[in-house]
This record gives sequence, structure tokens and C-alpha cells, in this order.
Amino acid sequence: MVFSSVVFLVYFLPIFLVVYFFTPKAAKNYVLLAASIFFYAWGAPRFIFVILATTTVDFYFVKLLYNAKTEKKRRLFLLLSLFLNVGLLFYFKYCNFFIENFNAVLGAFGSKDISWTKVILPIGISFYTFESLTYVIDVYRKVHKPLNNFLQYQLYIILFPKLIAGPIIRYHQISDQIADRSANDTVDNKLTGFFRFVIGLSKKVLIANTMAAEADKIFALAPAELTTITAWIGMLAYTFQIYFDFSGYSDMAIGLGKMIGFKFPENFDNPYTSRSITEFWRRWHMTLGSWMKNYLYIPLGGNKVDNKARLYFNLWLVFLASGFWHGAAWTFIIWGVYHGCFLILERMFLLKVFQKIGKIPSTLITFIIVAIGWVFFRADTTAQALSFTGKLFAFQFSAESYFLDAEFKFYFILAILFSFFACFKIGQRIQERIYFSEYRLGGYLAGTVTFCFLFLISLASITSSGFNPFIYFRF
Amino acid sequence: MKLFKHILLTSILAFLFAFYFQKKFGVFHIKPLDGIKELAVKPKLTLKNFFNLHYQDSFNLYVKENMGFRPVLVRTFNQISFTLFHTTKAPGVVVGKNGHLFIESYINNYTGINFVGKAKADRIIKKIKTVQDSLKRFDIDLLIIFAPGKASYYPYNIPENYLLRKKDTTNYTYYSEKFKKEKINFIDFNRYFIDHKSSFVYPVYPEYGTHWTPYAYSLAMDSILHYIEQKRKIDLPDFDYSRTYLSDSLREREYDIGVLLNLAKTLPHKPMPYPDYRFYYKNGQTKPDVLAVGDSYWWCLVGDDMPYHFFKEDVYWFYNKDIYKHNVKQETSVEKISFPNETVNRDVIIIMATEATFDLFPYGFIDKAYEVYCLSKDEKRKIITNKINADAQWKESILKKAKENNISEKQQLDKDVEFILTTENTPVKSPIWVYNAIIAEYMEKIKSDPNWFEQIKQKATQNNTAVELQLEEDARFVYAAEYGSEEIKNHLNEIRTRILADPQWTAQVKQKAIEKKIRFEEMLELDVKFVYDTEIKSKK
Repeated sequence: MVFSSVVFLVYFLPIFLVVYFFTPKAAKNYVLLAASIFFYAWGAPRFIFVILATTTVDFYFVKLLYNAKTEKKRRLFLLLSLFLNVGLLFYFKYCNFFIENFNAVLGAFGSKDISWTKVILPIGISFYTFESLTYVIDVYRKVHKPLNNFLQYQLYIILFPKLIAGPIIRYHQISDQIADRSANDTVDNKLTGFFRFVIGLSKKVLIANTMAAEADKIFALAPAELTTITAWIGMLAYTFQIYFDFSGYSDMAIGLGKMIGFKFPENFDNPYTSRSITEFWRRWHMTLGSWMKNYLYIPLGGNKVDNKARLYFNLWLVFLASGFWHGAAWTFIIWGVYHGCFLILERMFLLKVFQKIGKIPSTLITFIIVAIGWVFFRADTTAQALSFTGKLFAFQFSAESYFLDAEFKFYFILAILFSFFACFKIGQRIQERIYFSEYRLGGYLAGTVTFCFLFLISLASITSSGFNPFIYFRF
Repeated sequence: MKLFKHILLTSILAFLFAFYFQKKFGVFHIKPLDGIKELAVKPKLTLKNFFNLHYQDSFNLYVKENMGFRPVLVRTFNQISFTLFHTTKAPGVVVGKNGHLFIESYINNYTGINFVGKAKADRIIKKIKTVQDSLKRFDIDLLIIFAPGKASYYPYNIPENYLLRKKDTTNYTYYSEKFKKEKINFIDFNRYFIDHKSSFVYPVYPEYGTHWTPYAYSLAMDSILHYIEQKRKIDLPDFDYSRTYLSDSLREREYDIGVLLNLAKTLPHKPMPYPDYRFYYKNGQTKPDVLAVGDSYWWCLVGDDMPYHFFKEDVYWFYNKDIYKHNVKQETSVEKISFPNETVNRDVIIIMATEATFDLFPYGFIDKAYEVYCLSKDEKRKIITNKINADAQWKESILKKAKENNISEKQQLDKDVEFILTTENTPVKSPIWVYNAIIAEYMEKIKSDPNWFEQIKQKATQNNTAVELQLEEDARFVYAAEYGSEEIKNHLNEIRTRILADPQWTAQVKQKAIEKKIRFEEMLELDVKFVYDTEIKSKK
């Protein structure tokens, strides 16, 4: 089930909210768990058993880890849990990729392929696996005690607002809220949570979907039909699609969480206003960045390594892993490496250059670097990505101009506005006001009317068309 | 303050539930969306279809299409898109300039994007010419008509991005040029309407409709009738369409694209011209047997009863697939009927194509006609044999029959091929004089009954027609009532087939024809009728 589907918006959401709000506090977690299991089973009925089984095994592994007397035993249970989680992720997500590439190598040497039945990817596996890892590692590191209640642990993993596309919530960020969230269970949060949910829904349905339709058309063009202008339009359309799609989903997740008393961490902070790639990764998919920093970069030594070569290697490796996390394909790996390279260059000298040239040029250059990176993220093959990127700078223009309808132009302008308005103080103030500040009574009334109207427009858009793709779902 | 916030929260929950309640209880009556044939039905939940995700996909679709207030939401959203962005989500619809709406296939044919290619077009043209000549041997005139196209007529209303793709050669330019060169019977209304644009008193196209206006197709029908009269050297009944009134209330056809947009309010439009038809019959006028094959443009004429008034039968093969008689869809379809039997007795066969469907023209009709009318018996045998060999089930039935009949598989195959060749691929024309002889018998029967004949005379006066013409019409009606139903026609065809498939019986018919000094075809029809009457009598 996706948040931007009619089934969720018109059936699941209202029924769940009413049942949840009127359930006594002691039973709320049971209702939430049942709803989460149903939510996941609706989209992946076979894989619900995988996730239930792995959470069960994990819970008891971590309990054993916590109660182990010796460091050797603690490490054993840690490794077992890591093996289980990473092993499953590897099997479901990466086996196909490795077998295909291995067969390609075998083929190059004239050998017979290994026969292999392709494995289907369970939805959200990348997200909940990382969350499972934070649980076991945080307990191992003695950052937090494990949960006593098995159902609470299951709830942490399967909690539906963030289950299939994040934010990736580290265990210690949410552990207290699972047990008791009465402090956040206020009518104000319910209202502002709804407002945030609708903002996310509108971003996804109105802006992201419109950008997606154009991006798909352009990326499907044969190389001969692709001109420089068309390539730039396609690249920018996808750049805005992925941002509004993913940040929209995060807004919906955070908003839903707020409505049920959870405070989820923010996942995006106007990433396209970044003045460097370093800054970009502090603003884009912040929970993934935080996870990578805490569970990969720092264990590798982080910034405290002996030499710069080791530091650059760590950075590069973390981003290689980030790219690979996004998908089992060479294009994602190249995308990760691409960002890693720029991070290294910034450490070397590029950051100083950005600081010198001023805010607007550095923002623009960073934006273009990021946008070009998205070409690799979007392309189906490396060859297509390289060909597309080549077209961006080929200066091939055609008398037959690519037609963009008024609707696309309108949402494109909105996309630019909402991507960059936080560059200006007034934009930041508006954002702060809407997202994070307390509302006055009039504000709640205006918000209710405005966001119900936006909900209607978004619902009308969904029900009027069959085009409602969602990118990060496949991770 | 807290209470107020709770009221707001309750309002939001009520708002979220409103769609479900409207679907469940239908509190408000809402007009359904236009252009949707059937809404998705609620799927049945089983473990199997839940686990293979079929249930979820079907349920998602069901909820999406049947959601409460959906028509309101869709219309509002479409209206916003149309008003702000001049776009529509309706598939295949293009919002043009000056308030005109187009169906995209018209524009694609106009710009040449879907040109079928010279090789394919040449093959089709060659076949049409051969079929035309072959049909003429059966005294049938083939007539190709290109109706006018909205894109060709209003090219300046087509959006620029489409015009940028315009090619030099299009289906229309290629076919029309070649038809004239190859001397194919051809009426080019597309050219005619463009050339005479300034002379037209009323609009030829509605802004929001796909098809030509009644004024336009009245002009066209007039030309078609004159063409047939000259070609067949006959005089057809006349009609008067000079009395035309303009109306603000559009018929469905004049707003059929507008309807697809599903907007919140009807688009402002110009009044449309609707002629007040008068039909006239005089002595000596005749109604030829005309078969029309084509797309929905011919339907406009059928809708105003024109073929009914001018032709012997109002029969129309829609895209050469569905059969309509007097605007009623028949249970059978073109692929199930006997093509030779249904075509060989026609006087004129019209294939009408429009700009929207030049890439589909001639809808498979010419291919079938070529097979039936132009190929030699050996070529036909080869095609039938290949069809049987390509069908595993058919081949199996041949084998089974061969065993039952105690003959070899090849012998059975040859037998079956011969049967199909005779019954389905060999046109045998019942000459007009045979049919007229039977009708003449009925006319004498009516004349010999004074009361009946008096009724005929009164009818002739009421219908403002000649007595002889009314007599003939009623005689045909009585004959059609007795022998014209599909069931009876099929029975007559079956008897005819039986006779022709039996060499001895056929020889007897030939002998009788020689003795009576009449043609074989005439004797065959008389025997068919006799056998039918006998079989029916014996059943009773």
C-alpha cells in the first residue's frame, strides 16, 4: 500500500485514525502493530512472514547478546544478528546483481552461465534492515538497553508510517516513544501532523508526478532524438521529481507519525540550497547519512584517521556503499562513487573554492553537480547514463523544439520556487512557521481549510489519472 | 481553545470519511463520468488472489473508480487543468487553438506521423483496383469515399508542436493522388470541403465534436446520390435539406469530444445547423442495394435515416467488424457471415474512411474481397489449405472425419477445402431479374386482392409516392417478412450450399433450367425457395 493511493487515503487512513484515537492508551501499540502488519501484508503478503520471522529472531539474538557474560559471546550474537540481517538483504537485493555479473564474466571466458531464478525484492527491505542493525549495534555499544517487550520491538521495525521508505530511525531515537508517547499525543500534533501529511502528499502527487511524466518521456527518447535542451529538461525534471517524491514521502511519514504521537527525525533540509556536496549530504536523506556516519564511517575511523589517503578512502567507501544501498546496479554504484569523488575533491580544495566564489555561484554549481549525478541514478544502464550526460554538453540543438505543456511549466516553476526559497530569509521564516512553529487558533482554522482543500486536489489528481509512480518504494 | 482544536480534528476525520459514506449511502446524487463503459467491480477475496496480489490490484482499481464523490473531483480537477493550462487528461484528445478540440488520430493522419508507407499503400491500391474491376463483372460498383477531416479543415487550430512534425507525404495525399491515377471510383470530400470552405453557409464541424455537422453530411449525401445515379444510370429518391435551423441545444454527437473532457461546466459553443429533411419518391425511381463499410462518419448518415430512405437496405459494416441494420447492431459479425453471399447481390459497395482512420483503411474489407473475387480457384484452395494446416484443432477434426469416412487424410482435406471453396469463397449472384421475378409474383398477388390494393393506394397518397412504387415497396416488405429474417436467409443459404455441393443435384438444376429456357441462377433460386417451402411444410 502506498500513501498516495485511494485505498490508503479513503479507507485505511480514516479507519485507522478513528480506531487508534479511541483506543485506550494501554492498547494503542497493539492497534498500531496490527495496522502496520496489515499495511505491509497488503503490498507484500508473502514477505510479511519474512519480516515477522526476522524480527522475532533478531529480538532474541539481541536479548542473548545483552545478557551474555563474556565479550566473546556478545560479539558472537552481534555477528549472528548482522549475518542474518545483512545476509537477507544481500540475498534479496544483491544476489541477482552478482550472479548476472558473474555470468557476464563467465560468458566473456566462454563458460556456461550459472542458472539462477531471480529473487523478488521485498518492499522496504533496505530501510528496515538498517533499522534492525541500529538496534543490535546500539545494544552492543551499550547506547541503550534492549526492549523487554517483543511486540514493542516488532512495532519499532514494522511501524507503518516509516516502514517502506523511511526515515531510517535509529533505535535510541524512538525507543522511549514506543513505550510512552503521551507527551506528544496532543491535539496540536494531530492537527499539524495532518497538515504535514498533506504537504507531503501534494509535493508527491502534484509536483513529483508531473515532473516524472516528463522525465520518463525524455529518458525514453532514442539517443538520436535527444538534443541538448531536451537532455537538460529531462535531467532537471528528474532532479525535481526525486526530491519532491522522496521528501514528500518523508513529510507524509513524519506527519503520520506526529498524528499518532511519534516525533520522527527530519530527513530533508532544503538540499538544493546547498553550497557544496558536503553540505548537500547534511541536507539530503539525512537519516541515511546519519546511519552511514555512525555505523560505517566512524567505525572505519571517521575523520580521526592517521592520514589523508585513508580518510579519502573511507569517504569514498561510504559513498560506494550508499550508492549500492540504493540499488543493485552499476549506475547506482557509479552515482555513489561520483558523490564520493566530489567529497574528496572538496576536502582537498573544492570547498575553499566554493567559499570564495560566493553563495549563488556555489549553490548553482552544487545543484548542477547533483543534477548530473541524478542522471546515473535514473538511467537504466551505464551506457545510457553516459550517452545522456554527453548530450548535456554536446550543444546539439534542433529546429524542432521539444514541446512542454503549460501544466509542466507551472509545476516546474513551483518546483524551483519550493526547492530554492529557503535560500532567502523570508523563505526560511515561512518554512519554519508552517513546519515547526506553534499555530494560533486562526492558524489552525486556516490550516484545516487549506490542507483539506489541498488534500482534495491531490485526491482528485490521483483519481483522475493512472500515472502515480513512487521511486523509493523499490528500495 | 482545546475544544475548538478538537472540533477541527473531528472535522478532518469527518472529511476523510465523507468519501466512504458517499459511496456506501449515496447521500448526494452525482452524475457519473462520461466516456466510461464499465466501472471496476469489487473483487472476491480468496487466499490465492491475496497472495498473488491480484486482489489488491483489483481492489485498488475498484476503490479508485467507485470512490464517493469521484465524478465531482475528476470534473473539478479537469476544469482547473483546462482553464489554467489549456490541457486535458482525456486520452487521445488534443486541445487546439480558438477553442477547438481534436481527436489526436486526426492530427496524426494530417501530419503524416502514421503514414503506412508507400509499399503498403501501393499494395492496398493495387488490390482495390483489382477488386473494383472484379466486382464490376458482377455488376457491382465499388466506391471509395474519403470524408472530410477536422484537422485538414482547420489546420490553423492545431497546436504548433504537432504542426512542427508535419511530413510531406501523408496517407491522404498518397491515397488520393494514386486513386485518381489508377482510375479508382473515388469521391474526395476532404478536398471538396477545403476548396469550398468560403461558400458554406453553416459550420461544417462543431468546435467540440469529432464528426461533421448534419449540414455537412447532407451536402455529402447529396453528392453520393448523384454519383450513384450517374454511375448506375438510375434515378434515386430525392431529398430536401434546405430548411436548416440553428440550435443551441447540441445533440450528443456535436459535443462528443467535449463530453470526454468531463469538465465541471459545458463549454460555450456556437449554435449548430440541423436540417429539416424532406424525402420524395417519384415513379421510376429506384433504391439500389448498397452496402456501406466504414468508420463512424457513415453512422452520422444512418442516424438521420438517410440510407433507409435511399437504399434498398440500411446495412452498414462498422470497421468491417460489426453489422448494423437500420442502426441496430446484429448478433452476428462480419467474420461469421458468408462474405460472398452478403456482397455478391449488391449494386454498390461503399468504403468510407475518415482522416482519423486513414491508417486503418480499408479495414480488411479489400483483402477479403480480393480473396473471394479476384483469386483463381487454385489460389483459393491454397489459402484454405494453409489456414487448415495452421490450425491444430481443425487439422485434428480432419483426421477424425477421415477415419469416420474411411478415406485418407489428404482426401478428406481436399473434400473440406472444396466445400469451403464452394460455400464461402465463391460468389454466386442471384441476378436482379430472379429477385424481381419473385417480387413481381408478390405484386400480382397484392393487385389481385382489391382490399389490399386499395390500402396500397391510400398509403401511396399518404407517403406522397407513386402507386407502383408503393406496391413494389410493400411487396418487398411482405417477401422480406416471409423470407427476409436472418434465420430464413441462413436456411436458404444452407439449402443453396447443399445443392451446389452435390454435383448430381446441381446437374439436375442445370437440366431443368435448359428445359424451362431460363438461366441456371434463376432455376437455382426457384429450387432453393421450393425446397425451403417444402421443408417448412413438412415440419408443420
